[in-house]
Amino acid sequence: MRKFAFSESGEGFVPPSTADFNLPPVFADNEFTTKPILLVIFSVVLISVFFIIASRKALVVPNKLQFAGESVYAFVRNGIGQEIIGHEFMRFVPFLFTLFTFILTNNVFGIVPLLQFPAMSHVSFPYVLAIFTFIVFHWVGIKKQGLGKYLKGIAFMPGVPKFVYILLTPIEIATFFIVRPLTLSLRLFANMFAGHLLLLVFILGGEHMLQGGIGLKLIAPFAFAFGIGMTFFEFMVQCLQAYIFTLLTALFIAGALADEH
Amino acid sequence: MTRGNEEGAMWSIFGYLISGLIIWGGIGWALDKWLDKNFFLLTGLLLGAGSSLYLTWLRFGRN
Repeated sequence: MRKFAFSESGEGFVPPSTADFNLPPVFADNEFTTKPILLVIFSVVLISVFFIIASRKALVVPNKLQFAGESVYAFVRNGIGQEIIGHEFMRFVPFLFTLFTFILTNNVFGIVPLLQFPAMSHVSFPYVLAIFTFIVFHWVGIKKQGLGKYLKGIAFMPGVPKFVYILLTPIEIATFFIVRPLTLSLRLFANMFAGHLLLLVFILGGEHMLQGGIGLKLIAPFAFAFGIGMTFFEFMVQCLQAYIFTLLTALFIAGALADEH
Repeated sequence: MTRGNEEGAMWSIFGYLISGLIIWGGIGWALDKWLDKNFFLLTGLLLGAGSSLYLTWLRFGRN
């Protein structure tokens, strides 16, 4: 837990830094019980319980909870799965749905009072998600087209003079095997990291100004107001990042399924 | 086509541009280090940028 900026150094404002993301273990010295890990576990429980309750008594005329659950499901199934992947989309819906709800819940934890930490601002979590996506879309492509044909489709663009392949093939291979999973995870990580840092700056800055002279005390509410405004902005970014991660996963799967790119 | 596909195309193009610069820029940089010259990095970056633009055109602009 961060100490108050003022008491930490006596004088002067200590700006929030990466140190604020390295939270100490909650239980004794067990490093598997840090806040992000507990939040991730909590999110899994929360998502499971919510969707089990929402779908347990499926009614023809849905109640509020069932309606909420079905809206999210329909959004992922129709808006992302069907629209992007096409006729084979149903077998990928569980994966896409899990990705979307998991990322969304963990992102929104960043602005839920008391929880207030997005686990995805630790880069390892997006890395693991991107590895899942990486394995799924390559596996789907290899299974559908065969290893040789799939790799050939990636590396050699049809309808190009042969000598141009020297230039293009390294780029294609790097894009599919390195840049795609890397940008996928880093985009999510950077957005969550920067967003959390931004909120820390405004709120801790306001808190610090409250302890200053009368002039600073008068400005402090503006910092808090900005912090609140930024919190709403963060909510938008958090939803958008969950959507983009899922959308790109669907697009990669669709690309791997297509015979010709 | 649909909005989702356009957004996807945008990110694919972004990926191509990045990897073109990294791959050919990286090769140029390595040649610079190895041969103790200073023009391979620029050549590589230009080559990479050009090739990734060409690749983008091949993938998305050829219909």
